[in-house]
Amino acid sequence: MKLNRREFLALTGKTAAGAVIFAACGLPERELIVQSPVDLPEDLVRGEDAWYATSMGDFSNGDGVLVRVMQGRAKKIEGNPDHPVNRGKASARYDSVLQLLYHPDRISEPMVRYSKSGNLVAANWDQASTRFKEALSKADGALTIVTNPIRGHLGAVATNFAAQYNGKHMAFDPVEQGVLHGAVKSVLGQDQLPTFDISNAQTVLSFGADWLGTWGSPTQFGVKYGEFREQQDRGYLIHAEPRMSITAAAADLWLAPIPGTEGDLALGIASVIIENGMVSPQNVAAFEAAVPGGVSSYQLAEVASRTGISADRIEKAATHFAEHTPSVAFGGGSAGAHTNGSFNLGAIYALNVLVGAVDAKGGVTSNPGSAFDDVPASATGASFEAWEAELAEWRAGNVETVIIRGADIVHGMPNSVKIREALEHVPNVIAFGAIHDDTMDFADLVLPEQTFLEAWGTEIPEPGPGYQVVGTQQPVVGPTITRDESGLISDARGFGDTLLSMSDGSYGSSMERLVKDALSDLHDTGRGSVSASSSSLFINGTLQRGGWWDISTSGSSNVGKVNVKERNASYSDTGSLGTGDDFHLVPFHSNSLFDGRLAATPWAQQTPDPISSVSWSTWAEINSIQADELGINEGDVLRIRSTSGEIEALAYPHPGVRPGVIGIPMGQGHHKSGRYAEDRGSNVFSILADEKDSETGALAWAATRVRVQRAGRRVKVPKFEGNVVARPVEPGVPVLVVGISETAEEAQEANHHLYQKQFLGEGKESGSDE
Amino acid sequence: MLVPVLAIGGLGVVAVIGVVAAFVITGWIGQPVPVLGFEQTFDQPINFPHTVHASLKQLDRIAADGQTMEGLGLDCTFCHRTVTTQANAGVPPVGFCVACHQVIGAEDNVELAILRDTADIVGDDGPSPVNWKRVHRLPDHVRFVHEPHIRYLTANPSVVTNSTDGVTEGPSGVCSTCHGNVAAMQQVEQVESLKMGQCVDCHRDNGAPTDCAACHY
Repeated sequence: MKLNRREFLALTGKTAAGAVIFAACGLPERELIVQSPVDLPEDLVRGEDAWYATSMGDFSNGDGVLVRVMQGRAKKIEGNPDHPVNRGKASARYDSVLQLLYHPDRISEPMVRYSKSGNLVAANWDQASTRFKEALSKADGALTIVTNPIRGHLGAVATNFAAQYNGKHMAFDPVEQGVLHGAVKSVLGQDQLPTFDISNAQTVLSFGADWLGTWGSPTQFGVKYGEFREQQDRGYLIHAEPRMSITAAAADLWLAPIPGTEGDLALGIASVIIENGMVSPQNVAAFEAAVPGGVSSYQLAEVASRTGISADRIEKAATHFAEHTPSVAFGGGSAGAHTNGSFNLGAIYALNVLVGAVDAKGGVTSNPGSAFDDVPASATGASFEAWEAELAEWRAGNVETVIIRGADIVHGMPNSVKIREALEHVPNVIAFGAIHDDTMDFADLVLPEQTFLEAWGTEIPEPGPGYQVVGTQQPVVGPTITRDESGLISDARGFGDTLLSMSDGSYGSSMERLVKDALSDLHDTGRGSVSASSSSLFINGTLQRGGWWDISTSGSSNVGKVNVKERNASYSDTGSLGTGDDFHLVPFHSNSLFDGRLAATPWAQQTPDPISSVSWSTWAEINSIQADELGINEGDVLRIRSTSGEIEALAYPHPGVRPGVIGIPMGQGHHKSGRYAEDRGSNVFSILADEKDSETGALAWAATRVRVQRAGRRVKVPKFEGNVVARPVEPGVPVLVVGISETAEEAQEANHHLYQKQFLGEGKESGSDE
Repeated sequence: MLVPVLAIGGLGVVAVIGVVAAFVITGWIGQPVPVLGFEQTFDQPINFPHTVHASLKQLDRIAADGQTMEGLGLDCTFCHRTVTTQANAGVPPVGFCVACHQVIGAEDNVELAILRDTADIVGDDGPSPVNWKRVHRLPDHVRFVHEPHIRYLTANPSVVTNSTDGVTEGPSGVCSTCHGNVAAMQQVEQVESLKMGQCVDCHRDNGAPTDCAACHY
């Protein structure tokens, strides 16, 4: 065979092309690999799921959960049916939390900033530990540990660590519960929050607290609410809040008082009850002893004018509350977030004295103290006043090292405290976390932290169920390998374990040891839900059940006095804020993002708000009629200005908000926090004025008045509502159309019904049978 | 012969031939046709002899002390523990192997040395997994669950087509239906086609479902 040069070259090229094609079409090597690990833990068996009982860490108030783990990966979180707090029920937030564990922006390794003007650079744990030790070596007497209010042993570890360096442990909660704790202490004489026997109550009267959505222990209360409605007459729920939360939407009677007048409303209700002799004289005497000055200045007409609620509605609430017993009253949230917050909440909790609901069936149930001597049963954030003083120390250069965990203080503090400037004056800022948050921009050392699904701990639910409960938290997954098997998703360590490794060892060597020793101590008491012949069996039994509880324990109240130092609310000034219309700002917890701690997760972001159905953004709820008057339409970008600053939010006019009030959800407006939250929406915390509760110094976060102006732009509000025309799906079962200026009863009476036949016969024309 | 074909055709013709050939060959690798035998086998990270562990007969090999050897006769389920309960037969973890091989087997045995090193009994590299190569591989769009097959074959030994060293029943015998006499294989290879035709024939003969969703779901 003879080949000329041209043919030879052509043949060579074609052969090479063929070889490439053949090679590319083969089976990739990785598809043939079956990896056999060295050890095979039970949760790595292929095809078999393992369920581990643990607690929800920072993401609930002590719910017990079961985590489904397949081949070492956590797949689903469900409620633990054995756990006395949530009794097997779950919340939408459980699913979101899993996304923190496998978040694509999870901090994978420690990062160090070598000079204040430099950048954070990746480091290993040895380098990070050296840097940590250097920071501690100069920190004696000048150390502050900042955390969220952590309960259980982790909180005790932080407190002990701070004490070892003569420093302090300050908890930060952007939505302070200090006023609530103070009111419970002064009126009911309890150090920890009580729970409420909603299941057995005939009437529930709540103020400001969105207890079915975000306040207190919503999963616990949700179970009880189900039982409350299963009673023969379904119970009667009265809820007072300036905007319609999910609790207000579930109420039989919703009262929308002028913000800050909840205490007046409570005493107005008491006044009606006393004047009409609806309760026993003994109860009246006990109530008057608890309320200095009594209710003489809370006559119905006067209260109606002060609170903006009609006299007949106040009377209706009072009659139900007093005559359909057992009844229970409680409050929190925005009702306590005023300059007179302590008075408001005190007056509300005192209503229980009037109807004999303290420590009674269907009333307030006191909680006992902690099962451990060294771990408190309650945790709350330091007051705003205390924070202002602390930040002044930071600015003055008196604090050498600040360790921050679980608290995004840059996001959570109002502009007025100049938190960024304060952080810049601290030589060593050490931040723990799973996702890079706004505070870490100011950190000199960033340490990747294990999530609650990877770490040991204990949990003392607050509010508990009325008896001692210790929830256990155990690692349900090990270190997780990245998808390309190049390394770990995160070389994270536990906050508690890191502190213990840096301490003198007097408090404990590791969180695991601490938890097991604590459980062993519980075994020695010989009481509670788990009985075993040895402490190791007891520890296993407790971990399997997700905790230990002793139903024979109980708490008791000692009725004291309502704090009446400041009865009238005052608000921030709007005089110097330029053009616009004045509104009262009522921030509220996002149902899915909470105060922003879940903003990094896409599931929480896309979970629609239960009332507005808005997701992925920050909206501003304005009364529909008022919006009409001001020419504000849905989606108008509003500039909302306070003495602390300005934010933008999308207008969402709807009937479920009191005229003059603007409701804005918390949780958005992060500059960091991962790809899903970064620069999304606005941060309502930033514009809160520095008003404080007169008694506790807590931030009066609902006492800000704002000036609102249209920015001249309009954006489509990302919401589900209104995307499909509401139409009756069953013949003969109409949809009731409630106009913005009428109640459901009025709409019913006026026969504002929409029947299916109208749709079928007349297309999409809406109207009534009239 | 190829050269004149390439010489008369342009690059396009060759490319088409190449692509068609690639499909055929790839298909054969993934789903071998019986014309040339299957012989899908690989050198494994550890040369594990199924003969020593599973055979019921005298072996060809001689032990280190010069004695003749017989197979241990372990049931398949001794190591493949999840085969009777789950979709996967399961490859045992290394820790399971060294439960015996920590003491059994000569110290200078090369393959056992790799195993012991992997399990961190010897050496200082730390423990590491063994990446076995899969011999029997069904395409991704097929879901095969071992458990019901083992259950059915155990209850109906007459259906078992091959044998494990003559045994057709019980936790050793039934596996041979699809895997052949693994106990006699020094290196495991695929002996049945395991193609859809074989699956469907067997399902039809035994009254098992033949609808698409039985396997493709």
